[in-house]
Amino acid sequence: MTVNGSKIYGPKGVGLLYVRRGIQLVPHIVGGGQENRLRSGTENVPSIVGFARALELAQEHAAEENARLTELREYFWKEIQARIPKVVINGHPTNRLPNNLNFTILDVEGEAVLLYLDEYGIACSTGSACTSTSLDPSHVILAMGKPYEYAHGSMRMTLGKSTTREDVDHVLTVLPPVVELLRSISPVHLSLDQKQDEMAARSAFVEDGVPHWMKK
Amino acid sequence: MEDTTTAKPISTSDMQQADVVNPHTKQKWAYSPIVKEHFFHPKNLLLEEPTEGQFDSRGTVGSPACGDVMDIWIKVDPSEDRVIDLKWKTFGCGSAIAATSMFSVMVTENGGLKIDDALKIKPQDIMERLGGLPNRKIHCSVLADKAFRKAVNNYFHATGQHTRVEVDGARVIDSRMNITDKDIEEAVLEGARNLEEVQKKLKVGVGDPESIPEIEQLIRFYSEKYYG
Repeated sequence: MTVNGSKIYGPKGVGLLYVRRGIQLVPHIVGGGQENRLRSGTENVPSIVGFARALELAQEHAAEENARLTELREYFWKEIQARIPKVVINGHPTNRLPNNLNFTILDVEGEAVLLYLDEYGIACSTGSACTSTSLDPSHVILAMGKPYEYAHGSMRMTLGKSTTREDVDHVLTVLPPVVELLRSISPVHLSLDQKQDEMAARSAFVEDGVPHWMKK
Repeated sequence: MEDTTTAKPISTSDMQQADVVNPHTKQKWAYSPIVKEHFFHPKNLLLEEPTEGQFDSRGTVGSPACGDVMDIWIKVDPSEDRVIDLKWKTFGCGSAIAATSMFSVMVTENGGLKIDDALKIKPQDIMERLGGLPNRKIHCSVLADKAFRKAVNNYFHATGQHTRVEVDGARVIDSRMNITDKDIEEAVLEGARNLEEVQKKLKVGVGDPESIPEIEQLIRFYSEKYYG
């Protein structure tokens, strides 16, 4: 298991590796034998100290912060469902990271939503093909068994230490009209209970009904 | 609640003008101010159901599974063979919205283009007017072009001008792999620029080396068409 420093408000460029006893690893860098002979080279002491302190702080606030974020996320999702029709959560509704909300807005394309939200100072990410360098939709959403249509309209909102109820309310004010606007210009009208194989009709893709990103 | 359906005017601060350029690939990420203007205030959108006779024909391309759908309606003045109105709808990203908005302006401005002239608009003409698009988003601007071509063909059929219909039929280039010129066009749009890169995507010409000269010719043709 690895833990990344910058994901827990620690320094960037430092992380930790948890190795179970008995596991043999091939050194990443050979030489002076530092870091249990796995990664030779002079250790980056300031980063290590900073990371250790970040871990301490994270541990100290873990329980209260998890509770706060879980409650905030649940409020967020409840309100999104109340204010925007045709939205679906991706992943388990409760068995998920406290700060993570990933959902799909049907009939709109993720990148267009993203650009609007950015204009209002809201930073989030999407599984839309248009934001990946390869122009392929999120393989994670697809691997969860969701149809392509869901991947293109998926949004990931993550909450953090500095996220407040006011921030969530700001998104809740901005997002519904943006979705309404983009839906009004969209020729696509999917329904939530539509079957997956009806949706990604084979005729949607040339040749054998296989999308270009899955052809080898 | 404040009116959030219309975006706030875009400030031209240095931050917004700054582009993010990948130092290795030189790929640009940010959109030009014109692209933003057309994205936030798209022109010629069809927001209500069209009335009987409002348009002469319609063309739709793409599918929601692929992440893009483009729908274009046109009205033609038959005496002058001019496109006097063009409206559209899209399920697409920022570039698709901006490019189609710009395309609709180019076709209908100054009283409208003659059909034959409108059909000559190339994706790079749209991009030039937009002040550029990130390279990998070029395929988004091709959608407008293709939906328009379809609408025009439907118009020709409806008005009995069958000889004017132009269909881009797919032609098999590599018979072993059954790869067509359309596949090669797609590969070029996705960023492949030479035989090696196209082969990485398609394995074209591997089992059928005799097709290679033609494949190379097609790569040059489509590179010229979209990036030339």
